[in-house]
Amino acid sequence: MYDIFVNWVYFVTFGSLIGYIIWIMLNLSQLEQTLEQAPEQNSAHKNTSEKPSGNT
Amino acid sequence: MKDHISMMLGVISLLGLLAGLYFAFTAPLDVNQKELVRIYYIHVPTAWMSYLAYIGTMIFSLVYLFKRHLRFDRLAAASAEIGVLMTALTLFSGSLWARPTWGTYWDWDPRLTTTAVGLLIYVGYFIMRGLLDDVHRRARIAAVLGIVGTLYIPINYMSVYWWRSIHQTPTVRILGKLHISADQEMQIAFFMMLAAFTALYFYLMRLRGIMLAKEALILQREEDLQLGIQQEHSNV
Repeated sequence: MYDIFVNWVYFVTFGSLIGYIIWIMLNLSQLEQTLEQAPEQNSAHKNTSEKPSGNT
Repeated sequence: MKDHISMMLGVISLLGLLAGLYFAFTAPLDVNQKELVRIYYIHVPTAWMSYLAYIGTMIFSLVYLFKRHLRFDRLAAASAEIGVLMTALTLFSGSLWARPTWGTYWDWDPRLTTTAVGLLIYVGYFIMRGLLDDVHRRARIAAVLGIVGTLYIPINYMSVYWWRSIHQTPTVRILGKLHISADQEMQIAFFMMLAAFTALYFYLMRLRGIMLAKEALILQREEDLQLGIQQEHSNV
């Protein structure tokens, strides 16, 4: 009786998860492209701002 | 993707979910709820995954406060994001399950209310992150919120015992003596889904962590470029 209803709940749940993974994948490939296009600059600065500069 | 760990986690999650789906749709029906019981096999694993994600946020927030490295702040945010998605899916499947079983989509039952409050706490976590520009100040405040917010988990879990209302007590009781009140075939479907969603959490964390690290690298390069341009101007 509730077969279609239950299937629909599964479809939306798994659809959301698949959508989220696709969104991450698309962003990842876009970011990889951006990183490949722009050569590494000033690598000496790369990690310095990852840690707070002052006594925070 | 060339990353072997991501690939491995992805394959484990996929196989686990496929097996979980198979068991969920072949497990026997409940005497009273009939097919509706199948919602249980995704409702509880999504809730479990949200707990796992918020615990992840707490752990990364604590590590950030000790190490003060933004990498851990990014991971805490990634985990909270997965938690928000999973809490939303838990409320979605739960309210749809409630309509034919309880006769209503929503009730201000303690379990439902605390879940909604938990969702609001972590949505607030992201609103707060969006409002602060100073990355280290943002990370500090987010870490405190990420740790305090975890209090939601024991309150949410215990709410069905503390304030008895419409929501059932857990089918798998883990406090005190372990007690599972479900048919063995139902248990296989349930634990398979639980394991698959656990693997999925680590897979999503891995992907989201890589993505945030790349974003940070691009941002850093842009900042370095700006710094270089400014230095050139000052030299002229």
